[in-house]
Parts: sequence; C-alpha cells; structure tokens
Amino acid sequence: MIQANDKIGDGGGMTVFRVTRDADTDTLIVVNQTLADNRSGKFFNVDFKNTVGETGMNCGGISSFVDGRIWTAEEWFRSSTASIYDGGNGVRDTAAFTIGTTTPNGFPGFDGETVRKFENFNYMVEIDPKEAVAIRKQYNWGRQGFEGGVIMPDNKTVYLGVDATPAFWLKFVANTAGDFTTGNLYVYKQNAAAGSRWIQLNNSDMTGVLSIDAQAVNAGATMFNRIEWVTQDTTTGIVYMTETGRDNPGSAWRGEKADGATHAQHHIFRAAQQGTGPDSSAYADRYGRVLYYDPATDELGVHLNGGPEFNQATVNSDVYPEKHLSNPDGLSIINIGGQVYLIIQEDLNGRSHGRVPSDVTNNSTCELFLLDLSIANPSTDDLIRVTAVPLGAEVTGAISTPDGKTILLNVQHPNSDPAVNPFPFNNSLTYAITGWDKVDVFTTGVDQELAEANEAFKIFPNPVSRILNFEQPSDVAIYTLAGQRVRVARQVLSVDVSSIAAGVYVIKNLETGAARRLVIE
Amino acid sequence: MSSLRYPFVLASVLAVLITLSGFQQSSRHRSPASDAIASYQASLLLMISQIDSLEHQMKEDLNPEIWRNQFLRIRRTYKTIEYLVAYTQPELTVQRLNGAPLPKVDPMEENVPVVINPVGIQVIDEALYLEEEDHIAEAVLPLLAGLKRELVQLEMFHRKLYLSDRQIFEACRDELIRVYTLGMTGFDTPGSGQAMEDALIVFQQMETTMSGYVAVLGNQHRNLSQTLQQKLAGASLYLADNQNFDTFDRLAFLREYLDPLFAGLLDAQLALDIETMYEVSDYVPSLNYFARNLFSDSLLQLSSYVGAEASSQLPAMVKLGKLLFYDPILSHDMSMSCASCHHPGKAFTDGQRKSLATGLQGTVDRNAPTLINAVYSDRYFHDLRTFELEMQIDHVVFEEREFNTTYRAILQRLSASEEYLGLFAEAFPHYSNQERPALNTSTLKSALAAYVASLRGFNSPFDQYARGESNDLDESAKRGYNLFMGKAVCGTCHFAPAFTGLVPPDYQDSESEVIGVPEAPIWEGATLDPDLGRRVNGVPLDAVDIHHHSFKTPTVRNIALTAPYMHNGVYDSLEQIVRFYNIGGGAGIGIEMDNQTLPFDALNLNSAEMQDIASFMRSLTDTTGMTSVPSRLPSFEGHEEWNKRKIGGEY
Repeated sequence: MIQANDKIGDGGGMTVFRVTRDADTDTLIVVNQTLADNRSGKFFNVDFKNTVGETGMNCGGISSFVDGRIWTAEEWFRSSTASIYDGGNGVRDTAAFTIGTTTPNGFPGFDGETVRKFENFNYMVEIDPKEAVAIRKQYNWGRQGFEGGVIMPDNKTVYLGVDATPAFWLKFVANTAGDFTTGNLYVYKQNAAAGSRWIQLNNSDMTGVLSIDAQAVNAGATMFNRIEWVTQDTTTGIVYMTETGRDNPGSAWRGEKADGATHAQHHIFRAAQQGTGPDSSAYADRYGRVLYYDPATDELGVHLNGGPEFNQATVNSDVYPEKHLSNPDGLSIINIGGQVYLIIQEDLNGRSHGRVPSDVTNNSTCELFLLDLSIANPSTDDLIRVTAVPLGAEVTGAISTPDGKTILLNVQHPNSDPAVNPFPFNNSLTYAITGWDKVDVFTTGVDQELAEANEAFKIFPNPVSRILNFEQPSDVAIYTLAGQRVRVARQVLSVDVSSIAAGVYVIKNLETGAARRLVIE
Repeated sequence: MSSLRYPFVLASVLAVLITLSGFQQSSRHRSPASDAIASYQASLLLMISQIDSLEHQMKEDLNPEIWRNQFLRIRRTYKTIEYLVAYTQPELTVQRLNGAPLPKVDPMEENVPVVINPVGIQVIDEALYLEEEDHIAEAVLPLLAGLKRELVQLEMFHRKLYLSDRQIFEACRDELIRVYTLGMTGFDTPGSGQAMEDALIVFQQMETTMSGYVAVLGNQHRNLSQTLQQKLAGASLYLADNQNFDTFDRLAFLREYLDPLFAGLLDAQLALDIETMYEVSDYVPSLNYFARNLFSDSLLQLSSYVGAEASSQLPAMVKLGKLLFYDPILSHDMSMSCASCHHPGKAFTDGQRKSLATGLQGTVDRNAPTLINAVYSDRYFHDLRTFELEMQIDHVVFEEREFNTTYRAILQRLSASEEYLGLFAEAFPHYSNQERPALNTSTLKSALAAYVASLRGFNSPFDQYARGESNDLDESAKRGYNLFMGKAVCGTCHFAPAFTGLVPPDYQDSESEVIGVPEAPIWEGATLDPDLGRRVNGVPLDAVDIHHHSFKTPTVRNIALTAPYMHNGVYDSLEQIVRFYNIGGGAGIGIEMDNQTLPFDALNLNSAEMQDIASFMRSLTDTTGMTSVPSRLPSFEGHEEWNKRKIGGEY
C-alpha cells in the first residue's frame, strides 16, 4: 500500500532479515545484525525515502539467480498526484521529484530530470539487502506497474512482467554484464516473424520511460491479462510467468487493440472456444495460467491453464474437484533431488466459478502448489498441494533457500478477525517449510499403480547406518543420485549397507518399480 | 501388483531425470531363472529314480554292461544339473557327489587330521569300469546308496530353491570354466572316459538355460543375442561332431566357442541389466567376474591372493620390495639376498638342483621354485607349509642355511638408512600417525610380498594366441597344448590358466600330488627321493600318511627357464619330465608306492607327441618387465663397509 508513516518514511515498505540454519535441527534462525549505518536488531526496514524517493505498493520483484541482487516492484500503477497523496494518508511530500537529488549513486542519463511526484512511482527498485537501503530506481526499464522479472544467466538480459490489463512482455538488455544502468528495452510482439519479435522502445530519456504503454501499442505489441511473477528453470533455460487473469478483460484492452496492440494467441484461441473474441465483454478469463517463454526460439505459450473451468458462478463442495488452480501469482523454482519444480502461489481475484467451494463458510483460501517441470503438457491434476494459508490471505513470495532445504513464503493480508484466523494467523506472516532435501520425489507425476507401489514399499530405518529392513521379502537396488547402481539384493528382508559410502541414495523395488529416497549415514 | 512390462522396468514411469535400471525378476512369474530351477528340481528327482533302478539291476543280475549303461544315464542327468549343484553346493559337490577318487583329509575337522575315503560319481565311475566284475557290486552298491542319500536330502532342501538371474549367469560362467578345465581334460571321468559326451550335455543344457535370456536380449540387443545363440548352438554341434577325447582340438574350441561364450554371457548379463556379484556383496572372489578370456591376465583376482594389492600405495610398496629383494643387507653375513636363489634371468630360479646354502656350505633341502606367478596360490613352498605369501619370508630369514638372522636384526640394520626409512614411510603412509614406525616386521613382509606379487606373466606367445590376439603359434606347441589338456592329462593337475595346482573354477585351493619323484634320474629300479614333503611340513592337519612324498603342483609357466625340475631338481630337461609321466611316474620306474596320485598307468605318447608337449611348455615363457635389477641399493650413513655390499648378494 501507500501509507503515511513517520517512522520509516511514507509510501511502501520492505523488510529484510538474515537467517542461519541450526545444523542439528535444520531450523532457520533469524540472526542479530548491526548494519553499516549502526542500526542493529533482527528485522530492518529498507530506507527508500532518503535514497530513491518514496515507493508504493512494493510487490514481487526480482531475486537474481546470478548473484542474489534484489529488486522490488512498485506494482500499483499511479496516474495522479492525488492518488499517492490519498488525502494525507499516503505520500505527503508531493513536490516534483528530481532524479539524483536523493540517490547517492545517481542514475547516469537521468540525473537532474524532474518528474511529477506520482511519475516517480512504478519502477523496479534495486535494494541492498545486506544494508537494508535502496540503491536506485531502474528508470531505464521503463515506468510500468511491475510485479516480477528475472535476470538471465548472462547477467545482461532481464525479462519483466507487468501486472496490468493490458500488460506487455518486456525485455531489457544491458550493455555490460552486471551493469543495468545502460542498455536497450524491447517489447514482445508474438505475431511478428520469428527473429523479429522483440521491438525496441525508447528508454533513453524520461519522455520514453513515461510512455512505454503508448510505444508498445504503437509497435503492435502483444497484450496479456496481468502478468505477475517471472522465473526461470536454469536447467532448461525456459522462462515461466504467471498471468493471473481478470474475469472479463474485454473492456480493459479493446482500446489498445483499436490503437494497434495485438492479442496473445492463447487469448484469441480461448475466446474462440467461448464463441467470441478477446475484446468482447463476454470473454471470461477467470483463473489465469502459467505461461512459458523460450528465449532460444522466442516462442511463448501456455504451460498450465488454471481451472478446471466452471461456467456457473456457484460450485458447491459436492462437485468440487480435488485440485483447483485459480489466479496463480507468486512463482518460483525449487530443485528437489535433482528435479525442478515450479512453486505456484495463488492470489484469488474472486470466489465465484469454482475458485473456492461456494458452500463453505469463510472460503477465501489460497494455496501453494508444486508442479514437476519434467511433465510434458501438465494438467491441474499434476499439481502437488503443499500448503493452504489463513483465510483471506494471499500466499506469495515463496522462495527456496540456496541449500534446497527450505521454502520461505509470505502470507499477506489475512482476515484480521481473530475469530476467523486465530492469532498469530490473523497477521501477515513469513513462514518456513523445511525438509525438502528429505522429500521422496518419486511419488510425483506417476501413474496410480506406481503411487500405490511406492506407498506399499516400506523401508526402515531411514536414515540407516547398517541394516536396512523391508516389510516383506523384496528385490531391491540402491542407486546414487547420479543413477549408478551400487547394490542389489534379491528376495531379502534386509540389506547391510554399512560398506556403502554415507550419502543420499535412491532405493528401488525391482519388482514393483517403487522407489524411495535413502540416506546412508 | 506387478508391472506386466516384464522383463524391463520402464524407468520413464518414474518422475526422475536419472534412469534407474535393474533387471526385473519377479518371484511370482515364470522366468528364465524359474525355468532353470524347475528343470533342475525335476532332474534331481530323475537322478534319484535312475539310481534306484541301477541298485535294482545290480541286485537282480550280474550284467556289468547293463549297469554301465544305466550309470551313464545317471551321469548324463548329473551333467545337466552340474552347473547348479556345484554352484549352490560347492562343498557337497567336491566332498560327496563328484570329488576326485582319492582319500582326503576331512576339511570339516579342525584339530586332528582325519582321512576320509572318497565317495561319489567319480569313485563309482572308476569302480564300474576298472574293478573286476565280481567285485563291482560290492564296491558300488554302498556308494550308490550314499549318493542317493545325499541327493534325496538335496532334493528336499532345494524344493523351494530361489536363484536370481545373476546366480544363473554366474553358475553358467563357472560351468564354462569347469567343463573346459576339469570336464574336457578328463579330470572327472577316471573310468568311463565320458568326458566329451559330458561336455556335449553341459553345452546343450547351457543352450537351454540361456534360451530365455537370449530371447529377451533380442528385443534390444539383436547382434549380441544372435552371436550368443550361434555360439551356444555351435559349441554343441562342434562337440557332437568331435567326440574323440584324444584328437579333440581344445585350442580351437577355446578360441571359437569357450572364450566367446565366457565373454558373451557376461555381455548378455550386463546388457540385460542383471546385477553382478560385486553389487551384491563386498566379498572378492578369486575369479574376476569381468574377465573375458580363460587366459586373461586378470582372470585371477590378485587381491584375493595377496593383501598388499588393495593398497593405494602399491607402486611404492613394489619399488621398496624390489630393493629389499636384491639387498643382501637382509642376510646375516650380507652375502645373500632373495635374488641369490631367485635369479631374474632364470625366471627367478637358480639353475641348481637344490639351492646353495649361505656361505656356499652345501645346499638347502629343495629346488628353488619360480616366483613368477607364484602369487596365484593359497599355500607356499613345495610342501605347502605356509598359508600367506607374506609369511613365506619367515622361513628364509630364520633358516640358518639361508639368511640365518632375525627380524629384529634386519630392522635394526634398515633403520640405519635414512633412504630406507623414507621408502618405508612412502610405501606405508598410514603408519605415520601411529606409534608404530613405518619400518616394522609386517611392512617388511608386505613390501617383499608386493614385489613377488608383481612378478606375473600371462602374455606368453601361447597366451596371446589363446586370447586370439595373435595367430602366430608354433603348430607343435598347439598340438602340445591339446595333448597337455587332453590325452596326456597334464591339465588335470596343472590347471588352466596358471597351470598350477590351483583348482578351478574357484581357484582358492592349491593341490599337492604324490608322483614318485626318484632320487636320481634312473629309468628302471629307481629309488624314491626320501623327502616326505607335505607329510612333514609342520602343519598339524597335513600330518597324515596320504601326504607322504606329496608336493605342491608347481606352475608350468616359464618352465623353459627353470630347469632343473622337481622338488629335488632331479630332471634336467623337459623331455625327461614328459618321459617320466609317460611311463607312469614313480610307479613306471620301479618305485612302489601305495599313495601315488597320478590317475593313469601310462600315457602311451609317441615321441612326436612328447616333443609337442615340450614345445607347448616352451611357449609359456613370459618374463617381460620383470628381469631388471636395481642399479643401486639404498645407502647407510656411517656404515661405509655396508655400502660396499653387492647388489643381489655375493652369488
């Protein structure tokens, strides 16, 4: 939000903290720190006011896979000074803003330019998480209602998602790796010929920066329906992004369409299935989806549609599907046992049409799912439900710790009534789910028969140091994570593993195909 | 539930990036392994009923021809199950079912040696064909009853036998070695002479056993499947066409069928993703399962014979051991080294009938054996007195006619050399953290053993030809090999591939034999050499009369370089040795013994054949890379006179 706050400065905010891991229990512990500016404690507010000017509606952003640099995104697009002032409850300093006057490092090419105060909102803003200070607003990436983005392995290319309808798919390419203060900005045009789908925009001065939408429309760029988070499977190079949806987007983008912008192929296709066009008020896109973009081919399309689809507004629990994906928003990656999963997080735009069961009281529940990226043409049945969050809250910001053991996630704006969500769950929370390094990844994405076999294949103890026992005589093989078979035993109730080097292995039942993760100590 | 996609588990159904492969063998479905077991179980019952019939016939009427015919049926049935019986019950096989027809010390006794009389098929075979007719039934009936008793128990015990595919392959590959080194050499057919028909049955059975696997293999490995099928069928056809024991071309059969099958079965097992023994157990057997040729230099797994092989510091140990081997500093008067009796130029023998004693004061008791390939043994010395290569040096150190010293004295001397101390530290780094110094008695022994174990030669002209690496071998040597492994039955004691007494296919026991070596090379009215050999080797369990004059079966490899021969050096030439055996060993030159173990009276070899055998033995020379002598020995500070010692000793 944008709120007046005498303590940390008006506008939006951001909190940083540092964690360490207890080696015995794997528990994450927030540690005490003293920063360079002598602030000490566990949690620190990032100072925006005195560095880059205020921010608003800090949401999503970028955590670089390359080197851990962090940008926060000012999502909620502001179009007037009044809307940031908010009658005195928002940003109270509404004087025109001159770039470089508060930024220690300034911004080459933009220093000294003066803009209206609200025009200093809606950028990607780089921060220094170690010192809890902002570094710069990323003017040359354009002024948009940004939500997510991803820095590519070359440390030059950035893909940017915009939470708006229409949203444009943007790409920035820095001149020098790691230096994002100079470079070119492009917009994606899906219906152009392969090889010419990225059209350069003017980002060299504030005139250009403030007119990204108009430039994109003029270029005939492709329109999306609220792009949220962006991430990348670094093992395949494919970029994934959430497009959360809007119930009836027709009125929101038909003007731009008339002015030259184009519709994404999947919206044209989807609208056609509904017997209409994307600009029609009848066109419904309630649940959103996960999109993919392949930098190698410039192809963009649907990886997983939300749903299942319901035409009726009321869907009671007796017909409610086991899994339903609505309005995917937060999106990131976790690697479990060598297998890459998307972490998909819901932020419901509504409750009707099956987004939640209609007959359940206090039904506004968002869920976090995993999706195995090795599954070709996945459906919502392939989703693995990991957690639901307190009523009324969205779940977002989920991120895997670099050691792969923990997913940290945020629960935002739950229903604050303790009768609905008992304390502390009536407050926004960050919480950790630890133990992903011990998860058996083999039970996912398999047929029902194998899932049952996995369930039936019981081994104990695990971890094991000497004798591993089975519930019934079994043919088993033990493999390294690289797939090398190191031990086979047939028709045995136990196997002596004491001569196998300590580490993580996979044990497979050769008769049923069931497999489990095995830790040898 | 069970996947019906037998026999492969399709890894694609797993949500993993890695492919976890493994041959699926379900105990609940028919499979090649379960077919083999069912056939084996039926054959056990058949064999029992065949023995019943023979017992009945022997009690009914005196007609040895009918008895022998019935016995041959029993033999044939046994040969169809030999691979599984011998694999699952190796001790029972050797002791009760099909052991050599010679009295043995009961291996189950641990304190006092007990001699047990041989029983089983070979003894029956001998009695049926070699006993006088009137005495056959009396000798054979108790043996038949005993054999039946064992089989009845085995049949009950194996009604629920489970064998994995791995075990079927291991049993078949063992059987390839067994049939070639024991069966086809005539080892287990003392009377009936059925060796070649036995072999035919073994290969026919193997073709049947493997047919299920060959079919499965065809799905993904068409070429391998076809090759295997051709070789399996071809071996049987070749044997069917060539049933003459004396003229069978064993060398051609080795190159054309045996080795291709030995390698082909391994390839099939790996291609089918059937685990090997190394994935099942940490035990290291003597037969290296990954070997592809009978005469491969890696068929015998070195680390199962000598402990030093497992050390990562092996090269440093060998380097040190070699210096010690040539260093007279080990002997009391610094005149003698190991090389004094083990000259590298003579394949580490010394050309003497009996080795010269220290100070040239007479001789020691026996002839110096070659050290090349000596590692392939479970016991050492002519009389089998030591059980570890590392312990063998003890007898040289303490013997007053040899080094005449103590380890204490040797260690004291060596510790005066910084150079030796450094070499020991390098070869045995794990001692550096401990109170015990790297220079000690056991490291000294390990280093010497490591050097001796490094003296291996499996690359003679014969080996290269046998492995198919060369097509260049003297025709006489080829004929000689066929005689050695066939008509002349040398191979029934000098077992391939080391041509020693190490018994296939386990290669874990070294045999000794009583052949009646004379005192002097006299061909009539000879006198037995008085050396009692194994009988007096000091090992309590060996102190029985059957070991009178019994000596370790030495290797025939490098024999062209190791004259004179026998434990007392009585024969100077290979021709003399062949002549000795041709006329029946000691018994043929007038020595009367009641425990001679040669399985024949005379070989009836003509002179050309005798020359061929000698030619073959001359083709077994390989001392490549083993004959170099160190250019200097480590120096001793403050002992100038020691530094004048001669490399290899005074003589």
